Amino acid sequence: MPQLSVKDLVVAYGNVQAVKGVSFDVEEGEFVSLLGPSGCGKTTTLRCIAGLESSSAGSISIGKDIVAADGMDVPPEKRGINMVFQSYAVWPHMSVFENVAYGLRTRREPSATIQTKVDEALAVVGLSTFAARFGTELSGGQQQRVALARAIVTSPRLLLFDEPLSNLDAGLRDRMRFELVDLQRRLGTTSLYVTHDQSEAMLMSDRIILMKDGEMVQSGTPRDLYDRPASRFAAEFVGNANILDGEIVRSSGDSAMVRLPGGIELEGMFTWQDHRQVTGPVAACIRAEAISPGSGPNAMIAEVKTVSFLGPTVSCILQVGHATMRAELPARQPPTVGEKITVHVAPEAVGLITR
Amino acid sequence: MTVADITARPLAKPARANGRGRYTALSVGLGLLLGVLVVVPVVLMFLGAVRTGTFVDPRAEFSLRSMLAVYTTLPYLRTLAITVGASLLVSAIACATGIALAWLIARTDLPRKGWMENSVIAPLYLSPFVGALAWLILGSPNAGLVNVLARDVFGMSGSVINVMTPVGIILIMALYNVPYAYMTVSSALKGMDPSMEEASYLNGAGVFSTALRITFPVVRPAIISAFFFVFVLTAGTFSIPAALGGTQSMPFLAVDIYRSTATYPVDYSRAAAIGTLLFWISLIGVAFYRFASRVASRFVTVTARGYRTRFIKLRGWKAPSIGIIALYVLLAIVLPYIALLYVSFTSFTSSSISAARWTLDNFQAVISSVSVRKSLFNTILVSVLAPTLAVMLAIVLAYSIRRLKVLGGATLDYVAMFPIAVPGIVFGTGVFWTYLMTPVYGSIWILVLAFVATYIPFAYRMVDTSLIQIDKSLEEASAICGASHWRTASQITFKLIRPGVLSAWILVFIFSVREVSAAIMLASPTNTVLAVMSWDYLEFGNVQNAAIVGLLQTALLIAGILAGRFVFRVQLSQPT
Repeated sequence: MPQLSVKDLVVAYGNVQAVKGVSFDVEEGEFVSLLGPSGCGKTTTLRCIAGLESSSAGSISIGKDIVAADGMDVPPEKRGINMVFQSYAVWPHMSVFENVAYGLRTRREPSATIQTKVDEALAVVGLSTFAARFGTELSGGQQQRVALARAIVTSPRLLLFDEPLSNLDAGLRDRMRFELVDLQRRLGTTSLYVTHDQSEAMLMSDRIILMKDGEMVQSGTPRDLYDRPASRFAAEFVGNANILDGEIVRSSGDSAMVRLPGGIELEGMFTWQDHRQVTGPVAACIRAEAISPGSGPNAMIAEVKTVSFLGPTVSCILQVGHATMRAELPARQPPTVGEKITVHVAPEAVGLITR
Repeated sequence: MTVADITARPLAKPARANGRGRYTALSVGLGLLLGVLVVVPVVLMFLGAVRTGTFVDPRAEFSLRSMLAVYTTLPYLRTLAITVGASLLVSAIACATGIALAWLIARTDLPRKGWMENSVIAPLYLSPFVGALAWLILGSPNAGLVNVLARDVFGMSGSVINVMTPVGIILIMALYNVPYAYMTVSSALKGMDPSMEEASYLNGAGVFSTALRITFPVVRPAIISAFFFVFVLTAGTFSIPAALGGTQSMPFLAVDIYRSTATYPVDYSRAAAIGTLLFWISLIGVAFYRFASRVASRFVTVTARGYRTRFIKLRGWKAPSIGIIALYVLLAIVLPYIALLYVSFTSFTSSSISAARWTLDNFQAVISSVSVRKSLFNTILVSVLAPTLAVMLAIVLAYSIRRLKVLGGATLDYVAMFPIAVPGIVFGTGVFWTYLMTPVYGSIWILVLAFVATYIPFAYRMVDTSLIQIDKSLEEASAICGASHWRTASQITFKLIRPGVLSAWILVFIFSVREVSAAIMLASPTNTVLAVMSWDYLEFGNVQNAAIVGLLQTALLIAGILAGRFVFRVQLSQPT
């Protein structure tokens, strides 16, 4: 039985539907991300699961309990879950210890237990020496850890994260990603994580649910989403692929020949079986790193428009026929601007998407 | 599974968002309370204006006599014109001064800014009536200390200054309204994005032309709203024109209301009629004020964080600038209190200042008089009860409207803010008409009622503002941690708004201690407060005793403010 089950969830504000019938499950111990651009309904979905927002239709169950169905909601304090907020929400009038102890005190646990559990939670997030400090005396990263300790100390059956790293600076964010994943794996807490940052979602999640305009677009492992996008949107949002519009010339089974504007023909593979078509328009999705210099299958003559040095690779904008694409080429022998080079891409790396 | 299944579980409960309307009883209760407190007095004042006598007078009947007299005959219309004209002038002078001070303190490299700001705001905490009294001592013709000094030291003859003239009254009213203008303009200047001015400098504009062409246009809505705020305050002022207009040098509507009830022939109906007239002026002023405030909030610019405004170097202008601020503080605080102390602690018989003999005799005599002690006790009682009740009501109101989202919240908000359009003396008139037939009349409780109603807008707005400023996720985090609605409210919400609640309490405390106009309309021998006591002494020509009571009142104010700050600090550093 899944630890969290969301069925046909709808959230409407007046005539506007922020979430339009979203359904998904999260298994026990799983780390799942809701990924999507701002306004896609991911935060609203999360807040519905938390009980901070009321649902209009559909149902949510956590463990064996139905917590929302047909517009009736169990209040958040009775859901047995916890959450890490984007703004951390560390209470400024309480010490770090009191912040973390709050949920335990609410349950009226004996003070000896509270002491032990809070100490443990603070040790887990590495804030043992800060117990007596006040929230306002801490840095952003430390406040983040307090919020995390406060969320795990109640041993929630589901842990929710609302873009918890978006207010941190880049270096700290990278470190916290690893720490969060590590912590989640150790504690095994079922987690649902909301983010608009695709690399964060890829790095941390067992599974990613991609959302757009209040609907689920695709769900799968990070690898699945990257290698087999089911739509143009998924291909663009996850990993920023080159999308080239073309026309199917002929196809057999999974593979097809596609003609791009300007007459260049490429061989590619349909990402999903239900995308197979014999004729008609198609989008060819090519990752920048799939383009290699030299000849081979799908060889093309490309004119180099720009070259930017990234360290291990150079990022180039190439003009191929009428299309432009981004390519990451080895930095050892970089092409020069204006040069005409031959590049190729394996047919398996050309994903064909028909919607 | 169905809804029936869910509701059968002990876990499930309808969400609070669906619980709208569950608080109907609370909403109706608050509405009734506010209605009785705030609306009824004003309605009954209008009713009183069309009666020939009080509601308890069996011979009284309906008549338009007072209304016709007040709204159509010349003496009243002349007073109306003078009240409006003088108030506009006062606002203009106070705003001009406030802007200059605000710009100097917010934008230039003056030293000790915190200290300077506190001294500019300080007159706000002191009673304008006591200030007027002090200026009467300083600047009355012939006997005024400044005039005596001019004669004694410089050998001048006649009066150097005379505050008992329209010019004097207007200037002193302006003097005590500068802090209001200062605070509004100063917060607008501090909230302004500094890069707007920096862009102007980079485009080649100098300090002066940047201030003129960028800074002031951007804060103009704030200036306009300050202007109308001061206008409404001034138009309803009783204390200063009453204290300085002894010879009727400048008629003022608020003074006319008081005179109608205090001098022969007593005419409560006329007082009510003048009250309605003053009410309309205030209402118009408040309408302008609200409009300007709305525009001002649209003008608010997001400040780039982390960058402090570059302070303008005053160089040679530093000394004159400090001089301007010092002059203001000298006129508003230093000179008046020197005068009060001088009069209180010398025998006022000698004609020359240098020959004055310092003594505690007068002070002790006044302090030990039974009536002064009683009024001190009354003042403390009223000024503790009124803010406590006002703040409690404000918390319930703000929490109900913001968090419980009770039915008719917008209406409750409007009614709670309504008294801001009702000057104290007008409210006093209304409260007088309302409670005349009840046992509350003449007791100390009628003052508490009047003060709570008059000051609920300030308490409510401050509590509401601090409630708005709480990040919603702080409360959500508590619910997520398993805390009930009530635990979240008591452990998180109320604790976080505590500083705001305390400031609201102190503000209403200050207002209650220094309030003259409402108190004087409702005064009886048993409920005299210090402000009324001081006024009575002045009315009977005993300036010395009036000054001593004024000092006593000031001491109480300062004690209250210091205690508040002390308590405030204690709470901030409290471990939990």
